[in-house]
Amino acid sequence: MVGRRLWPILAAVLLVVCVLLSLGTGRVWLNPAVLVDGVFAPKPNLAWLILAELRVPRTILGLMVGATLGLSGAALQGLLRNPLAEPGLLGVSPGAALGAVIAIYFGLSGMLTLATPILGIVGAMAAAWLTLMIGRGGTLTMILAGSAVSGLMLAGVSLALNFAPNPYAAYEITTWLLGSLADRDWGQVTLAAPFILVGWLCLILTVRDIDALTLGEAQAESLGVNIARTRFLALAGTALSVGAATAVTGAIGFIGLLAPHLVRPFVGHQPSRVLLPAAVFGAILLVFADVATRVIPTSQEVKLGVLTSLVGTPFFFWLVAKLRRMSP
Amino acid sequence: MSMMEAHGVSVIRNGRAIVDDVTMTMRDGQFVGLIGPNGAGKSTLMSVLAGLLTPERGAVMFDGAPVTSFDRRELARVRAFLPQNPRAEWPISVERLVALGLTPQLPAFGGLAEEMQARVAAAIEMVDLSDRRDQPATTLSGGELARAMLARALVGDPDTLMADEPLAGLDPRHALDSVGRLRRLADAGKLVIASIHELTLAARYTTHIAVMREGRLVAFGPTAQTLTSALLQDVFEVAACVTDAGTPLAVVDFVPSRPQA
Repeated sequence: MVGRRLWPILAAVLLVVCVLLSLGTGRVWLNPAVLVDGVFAPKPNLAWLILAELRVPRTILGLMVGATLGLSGAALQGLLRNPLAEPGLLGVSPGAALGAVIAIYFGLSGMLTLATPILGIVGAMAAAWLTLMIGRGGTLTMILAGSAVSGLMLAGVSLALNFAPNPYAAYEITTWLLGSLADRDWGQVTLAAPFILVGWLCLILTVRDIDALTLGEAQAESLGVNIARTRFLALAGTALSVGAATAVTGAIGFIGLLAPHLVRPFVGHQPSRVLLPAAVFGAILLVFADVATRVIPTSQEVKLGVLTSLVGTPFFFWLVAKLRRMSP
Repeated sequence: MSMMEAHGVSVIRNGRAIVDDVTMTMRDGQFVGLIGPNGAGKSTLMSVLAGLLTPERGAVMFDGAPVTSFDRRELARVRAFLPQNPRAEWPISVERLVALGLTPQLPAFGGLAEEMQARVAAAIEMVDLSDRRDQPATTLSGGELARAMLARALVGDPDTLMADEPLAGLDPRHALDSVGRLRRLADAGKLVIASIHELTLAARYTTHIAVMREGRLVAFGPTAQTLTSALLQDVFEVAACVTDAGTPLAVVDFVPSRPQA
């Protein structure tokens, strides 16, 4: 099919466009030429400062977080063979949210800027570990365990809001929960990057296994797949990468669910072939959504997580309609 | 060479022995038909023999070594296992489904080498699905999917093939085709173990018959001597008539044990 060959080109074009838009768009509109000039001879002018200190880290973070969500969504859907699987389903993102909220609630974030992301990563790991321990039995047990852990983590977040010492703390928590890439700096990028990269590595190591799982667990095991190892890699990878991403940006929904579904028909549905395109389109979707939050003329900036949920929900309806058509 | 031995294998669930003290030795060149009523423990025994389930008591030896001592991938290269009613969970093409049988031969990353693609094509050809190679596996009929799965199991050229009800859902032509192919594999020096409910086909094509009832192995031996009317009557609790077991003209027929007036 010609369409299959065109997809990588389309993806590359979209990626370049979204990166340029993300670098140029904002309260101050910048010409991409400034970036090119600056790379060769860094100048301490305002335009270059905005680029180097605000836009570039924000764009890199957007790409990393989007790719993380797409990749982990694709790996989890392959592992669980469930179209609704995404990082939130297994409790990882709610765990990260709870960790970060604890940091804000106890004012740790005021003492140390990186306290929020660090506790977020810890929360994600704890949640993933709980899900893995409780849901050892099989795929369905794991999904149920993930839902239970999600519920527990979200209850913890609600409790923090309930007991918030003052309206300002509650406001800070709520704002953080909505998810955003605004005002993130290099410190947060460099904190999250190592975790995200190790997480990606874990997720990518599952490729052969999630392909074999297309045949069901019994056949996959007979083909030499160690399912316990696959589950561990997928969950640890998700905890590290999504945990670090959520810890830095707040909860951003739907990208992890949407990106794999978007690319799946174009790669012949084979789980391993979904991973990379899902990561690329996750990055594209997230950066475009982030650009949109800056362009949409509202008195207060629309939060990224709110926008992805708003745009993502119709997709959910489409998925339901599609599944209904496919089932007899 | 391949030899599979079960030594006093028992699988216990909720205090009940699903497989009860099974001891048997099977070797290359044999096509062992595993028969028995529903719930006799055939599938559980197959999982144990395949090394996917660790028995509570006893051990399975493969080529003289405990099956548990094998590396998973190493074991996957020498024996193929097809569970009952295998399903494709994603609508991948028949070609890619069959290629998954090469998983234990592949490195951690990268695509299929040309030589492997040829093997995949040959396996698809063998089960008569060449015109369906690009069709999503989820849209195949039950019998077509069963054949695609058989190709999946055979593409890696294993020494031992274990298939749990490989003939279920096949039309007469493809059932005969498949069971004939299993016999030819045995004649070519492989060990084939398959649970079979179609007793006439078992009587015609298997070299050996293993009979299970309530978890116990009640008979095991060459088809011609083992598959008798008396045995079937005893195991299945119906009056059975077996003629010429172990020959291409064998027939197994059942009549209700208490014919109604």
